[in-house]
Amino acid sequence: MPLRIVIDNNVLVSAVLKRGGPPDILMRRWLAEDFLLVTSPAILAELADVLNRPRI
Amino acid sequence: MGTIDYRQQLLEEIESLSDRELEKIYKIVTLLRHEFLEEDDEARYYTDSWIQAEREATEAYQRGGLKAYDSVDEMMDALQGTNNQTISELEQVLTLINQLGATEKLLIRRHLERDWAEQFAALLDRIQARVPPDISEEEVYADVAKAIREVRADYGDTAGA
Repeated sequence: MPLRIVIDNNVLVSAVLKRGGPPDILMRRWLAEDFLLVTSPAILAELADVLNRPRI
Repeated sequence: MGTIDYRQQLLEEIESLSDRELEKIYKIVTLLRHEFLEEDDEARYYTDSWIQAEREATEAYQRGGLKAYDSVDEMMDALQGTNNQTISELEQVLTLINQLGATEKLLIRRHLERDWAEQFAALLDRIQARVPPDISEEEVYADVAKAIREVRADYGDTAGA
């Protein structure tokens, strides 16, 4: 069973915006299937809301 | 006893067809004539398509993929048996899929869609390239944290409404 990790949206959004930082590295490790990202409809809804903010 | 004018009947039947449909039919007729009709009975078995089909069937037979049948009935029985076996195997696969948990299904899906990760990484690269490099990590994290606080405050307001 692969490692399952829940990541806070702070980290996910930061990964999208800044290359090379720890959040980006974590995102790339997820894409390389080093672990399984566990999420939920509520987390995804919040993520969509945050990414749609003018500030972001 | 009247006679049937097949030519007239054919003309009436194709009258309603569009030019495109007529062109398709013309091509099919031309192909058939070229492949079979213009050859005599013996020669039609020496067309390229026939020879290729015969070669493929012979190779399949040599690999053990085809069986020689003594009668058409025997062949039909065998085909029905193969059909039943295929259905049975498909049912077993479906049963197995239904028994899988959400995690296993996700892992299988990701395995089947391996290029998904590459596409996502490329998207990530494009978005990150648009962010001005002079913005520091700390500034990004501060902006993100503020946006998330705003969203969570909105959710709180909605929940409390």
